[in-house]
Amino acid sequence: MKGFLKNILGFFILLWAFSQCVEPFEEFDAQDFEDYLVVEGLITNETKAHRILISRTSPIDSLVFIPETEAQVHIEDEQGNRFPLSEKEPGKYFTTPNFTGIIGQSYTLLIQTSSGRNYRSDAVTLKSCPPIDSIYAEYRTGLINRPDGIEFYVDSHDPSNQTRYYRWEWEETYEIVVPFASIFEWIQGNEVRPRTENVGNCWKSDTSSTILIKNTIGLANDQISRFPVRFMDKFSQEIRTKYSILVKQYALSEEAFTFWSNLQESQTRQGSLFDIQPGIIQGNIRSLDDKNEIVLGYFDASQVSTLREFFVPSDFNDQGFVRPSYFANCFILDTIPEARIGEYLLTENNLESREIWDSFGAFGFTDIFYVIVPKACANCTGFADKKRPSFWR
Amino acid sequence: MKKFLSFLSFLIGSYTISIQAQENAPLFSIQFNQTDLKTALLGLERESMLPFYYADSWLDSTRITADFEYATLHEILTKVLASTRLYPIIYRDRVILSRDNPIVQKFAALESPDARSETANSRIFARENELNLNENIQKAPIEIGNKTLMIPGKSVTLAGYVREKKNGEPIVGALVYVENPFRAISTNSFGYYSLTLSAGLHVLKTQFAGMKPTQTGTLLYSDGKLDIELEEDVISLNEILVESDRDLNVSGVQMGLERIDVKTIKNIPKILGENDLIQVTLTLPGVQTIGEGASGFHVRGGNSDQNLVLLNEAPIFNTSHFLGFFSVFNADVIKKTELHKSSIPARYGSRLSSILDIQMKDGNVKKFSGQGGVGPVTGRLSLEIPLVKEKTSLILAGRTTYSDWVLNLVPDEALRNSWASFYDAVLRLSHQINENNSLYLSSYLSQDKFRLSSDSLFSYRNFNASFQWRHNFNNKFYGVLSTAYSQYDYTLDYEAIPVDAFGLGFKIRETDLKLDVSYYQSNAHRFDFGLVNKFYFLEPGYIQSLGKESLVSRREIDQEQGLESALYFSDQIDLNERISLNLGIRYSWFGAFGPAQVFDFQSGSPRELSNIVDSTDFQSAQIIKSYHGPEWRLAARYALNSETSLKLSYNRTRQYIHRLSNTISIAPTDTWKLSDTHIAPQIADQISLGIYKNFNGNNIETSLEIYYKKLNNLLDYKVGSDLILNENLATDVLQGRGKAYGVEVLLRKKSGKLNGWISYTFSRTFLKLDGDFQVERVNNGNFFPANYDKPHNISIISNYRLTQRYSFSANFTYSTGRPITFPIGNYQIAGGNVILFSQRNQFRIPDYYRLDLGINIEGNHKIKKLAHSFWSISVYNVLGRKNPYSVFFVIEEGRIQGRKLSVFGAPIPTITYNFSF
Repeated sequence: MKGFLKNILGFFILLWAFSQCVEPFEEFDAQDFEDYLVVEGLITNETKAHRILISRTSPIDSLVFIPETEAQVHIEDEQGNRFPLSEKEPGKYFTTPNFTGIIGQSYTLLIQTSSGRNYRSDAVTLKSCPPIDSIYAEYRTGLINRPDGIEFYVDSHDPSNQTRYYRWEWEETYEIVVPFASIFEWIQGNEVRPRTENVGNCWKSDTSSTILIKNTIGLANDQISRFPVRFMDKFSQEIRTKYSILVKQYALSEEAFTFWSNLQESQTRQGSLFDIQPGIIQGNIRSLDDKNEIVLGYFDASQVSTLREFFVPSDFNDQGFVRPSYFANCFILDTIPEARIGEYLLTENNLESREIWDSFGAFGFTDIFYVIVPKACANCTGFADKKRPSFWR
Repeated sequence: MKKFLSFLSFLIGSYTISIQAQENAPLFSIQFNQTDLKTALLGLERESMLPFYYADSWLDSTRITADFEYATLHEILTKVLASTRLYPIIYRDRVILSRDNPIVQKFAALESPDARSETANSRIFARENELNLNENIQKAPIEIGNKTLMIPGKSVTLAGYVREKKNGEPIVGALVYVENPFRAISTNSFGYYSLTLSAGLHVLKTQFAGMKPTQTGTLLYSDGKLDIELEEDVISLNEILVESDRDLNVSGVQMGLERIDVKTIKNIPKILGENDLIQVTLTLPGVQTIGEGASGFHVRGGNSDQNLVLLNEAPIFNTSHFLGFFSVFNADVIKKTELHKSSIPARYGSRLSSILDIQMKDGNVKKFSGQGGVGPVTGRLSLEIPLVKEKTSLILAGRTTYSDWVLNLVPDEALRNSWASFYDAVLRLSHQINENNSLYLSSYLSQDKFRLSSDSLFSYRNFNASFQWRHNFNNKFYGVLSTAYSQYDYTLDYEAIPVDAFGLGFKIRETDLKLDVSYYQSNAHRFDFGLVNKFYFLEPGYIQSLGKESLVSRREIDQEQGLESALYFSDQIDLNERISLNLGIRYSWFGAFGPAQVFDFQSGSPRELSNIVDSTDFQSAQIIKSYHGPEWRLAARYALNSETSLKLSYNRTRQYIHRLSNTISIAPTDTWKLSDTHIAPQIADQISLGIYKNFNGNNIETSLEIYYKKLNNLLDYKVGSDLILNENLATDVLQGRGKAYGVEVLLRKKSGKLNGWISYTFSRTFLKLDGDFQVERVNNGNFFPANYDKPHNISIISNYRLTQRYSFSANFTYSTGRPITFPIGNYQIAGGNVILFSQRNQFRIPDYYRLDLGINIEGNHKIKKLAHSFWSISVYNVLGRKNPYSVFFVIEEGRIQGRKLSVFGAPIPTITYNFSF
């Protein structure tokens, strides 16, 4: 029943919240910094290069990934077979692309750092995981301490009642359509030519960055119902045109669930009366040289079940949802004659912030005029990817 | 008057005439039943048709109950006036009453055939003259005991009750004393006193803050009883802020005892209009809170579960309404509150740090009365109903929130679907069977309910009932047999997701059976001894499905049962006027009983599920594990002079029941747990030393107390433990040590236009969790400050009475910010950054200070009017300081940012209307 108390206390935190006021507090300095090894890795039944991240803690004033480089990393199965990992990027170690985890097999992560210290994870068994039944979304209003918005839910169930502990990750992709798609491209001087490719239509992707877990301990059936994986407020650009979410579902051991639950709890402190006493949350990685050394993170193995779903704003029309307006304020900034377009665009930082939308010929003028709009309203390639994802439909 | 006196002196020489006149006196039959003297005399005057001569001012409040048949007027008068200072002379068809006339007394002595009595009375006669010189004595000497048993100089015991004249309410802590030689005692919780004095004449003085002091001439022949009634002192009526037994702080052996008067509670500026007992408790030296709105309090470095809160001898497990903003006690019906911080009397036990003993009024036995009030959050009403006059009284009181408008003020739409409400109600029936037997029945119920956005409902409830039978064996010896039942439970219904919908609950029940006996062996020794049994019955938690769609299966944690028994004995020894000792011991035993299954863990391994090697099943009523040990309660006082004393005390306490809480302060969902195989009882030792000095006729009290306390087996939990519905708590509980020390300085002015107190406390509290394994250690096994370690505390409570009707109060509080755990770094995991916390409580949030102001406006002071009323207007946090409740950290905009959270960060004005009739 891990994570249960938190849910209940959350109730009181909300109730209590009405009488309080929260302000920034800056009167603190970085205190003693403690440097620990952080390991995160998950191997699945997919055939691919599985990734293990090895890093170190960083001081509170910098949110950077401090890689632990040049470590010797292996995964060992229960037969004693060792699979080496290689460092492709600093601190990011990958198995060979043909590595496939086997359901029911147990694996151990072995690390020797460049300074010669040895670490070993507890053996983890690659648990099987049931498929995701469905992903669906609802427009929700009148939520306590939350703006109105769309909540995405996952349902799943395990008829054998074996899974019980679940974790999710997601990857989302959404289409961006700019209001004034640029059809001209400035080359140099006053040379402008029609674009050959569409810069008004892009896609942007993101991945989950919070801990999404749930257990069904205490339920008669191992059934996940309406688990909220993602919430976006009603002004979110993600849902303006078309939105796709790929949810990955993993099965956890009780121990792994406890770890993620504790970690989640430690991050959701709101300074209330009912905050849980904080402390260091250790996972299943242990130092072989010093049993008192603190090592953070978790190495786990699980079957993965994935499901992708697409949503458009009109899906929520009947729930009162209004399609959000474009994030940038779009209007015509200028109309510039062809003869001055180079000069204009090279002035100040116009090139970075403005874009030619279209052109027109005015009555009585031989010159062509270019219509100038904010760049964000005409060209999305600056902040998103114009390549249509293969899965897009 | 002068004329009359000279007439009397003329009579002195001719007393025999009255005897002769008696020879053929007519006989009368007359009945008196609780008749006052004046009426009785008027009645006799009418009956005898003789004119009576006396001064009205001589008549005291004596009431007469007697039945005369064919008695002479002289016989009747002698009897009627027996307990007054008046003596009848019938002379020439007139009745003349003389006051303090020794000759008449002498005459009685001569009449007596008993020679011993004669000598005795001649002594009395001599003393009586002495007495006459004392102008302050308002009443005639009251003869007590059997004259024939009188042996001059022999020790006899005088006992009785001190009550309020207005309503018959017993007064607790009133000082009853005689001077020369000085003998004093304060009344116990029933208003009872027992004094051993030499036979003969004494001036018995009584004093109690807010009451007119009395002096009663008593003529002690043998053991006897004297009930004393005190009148409210009109002048000081509204001035009394702090009640104290005048010089008791200096003269008593007790240390670390704080008395909280109801008037204090009412005079202090309030938060949202509630008179809050716990709020006042927090202003006392040595008492701390985690923060505004936090439930519970901390005494001298003790955790909040180490305070035993007793309401009429029955424990209260949750002292807060509304998650901690209000206390569950209705101040209108509280008579007396005592907080024992050190030298806890042996009769109390089962908690480590303090005893907060709250006693309700016994009720008005004279007339129907009541009081009530209307504040912004609640309305309250209490009634005192005399069922049988002078014998039986019933109190009914209630308080409830009358609307949810507070929540409705919140702009959040979702919160409008939510509501919170609470109520509490008390009933107390007291019945005096006779002089020696009294019965008390009390019951208390409080409930809080919260609904959040129509899918969650939480409610918690305190219920208790107690019954006490008080019996006086004799003047020196009395006992109280009490039984009490207490229950605390909560339930939570959660329906947001139909499949997961559940109902969850917890319940604790405690039944106490106690016998407390006090024996006043002499003025040098007072013995208190008794036996206490506490049966605990816990339902640690259940969860069950709610609604048709719910898949939640019912699960229940095994019930726990335990018995705590204690025997105690203490001797209060007054060696001489300078040295007093209180030597006490309480021996407590605790047993946890089956049925239960207990796991054994691999020795040398951390207590984890994977290290369970065996389990033992215990049958019903089989002892699983027992603990026992002595609890020493020793205190000594050395009086340097009548206004200064030094005190020293050593105290050991043991606690077998623990609140499970790993949140920063008490959460409403916290549960309780009994000691068992894996959870040892908490034990504390405290040594304290104090110096007390009073000035200005005990009006100004100063004291300085220092203490050092060692705590053992304190409970803490592994990081991330879930304590609710936890089947294997043993794997999550850590037990560690603690130490606390501090200095408490108090300056208190008890009466006068300006009164109040200033207290300064320096205190530190450290905990240490140093298990054998890394997961069992906090801060590398070193001492670290407790959550409530706030070294400097200043409280100023003041009240200024401008006129009889207007009084102002101001309340200032300062304390060091509480410690919090600071992030020491961050790392990336699961695609995001997380903050790394370590080294518990190494950083402090900014200091706390607050000023509250209040004004009380009384209605007029006409004695005859329907109801007395007053308005209280107060402003909480006048300075509007946004006192940080906590500082926490979030990752936003790509960096770790601090956030300061404050509660009541603006001035909060409230008006309350109060009335009494």
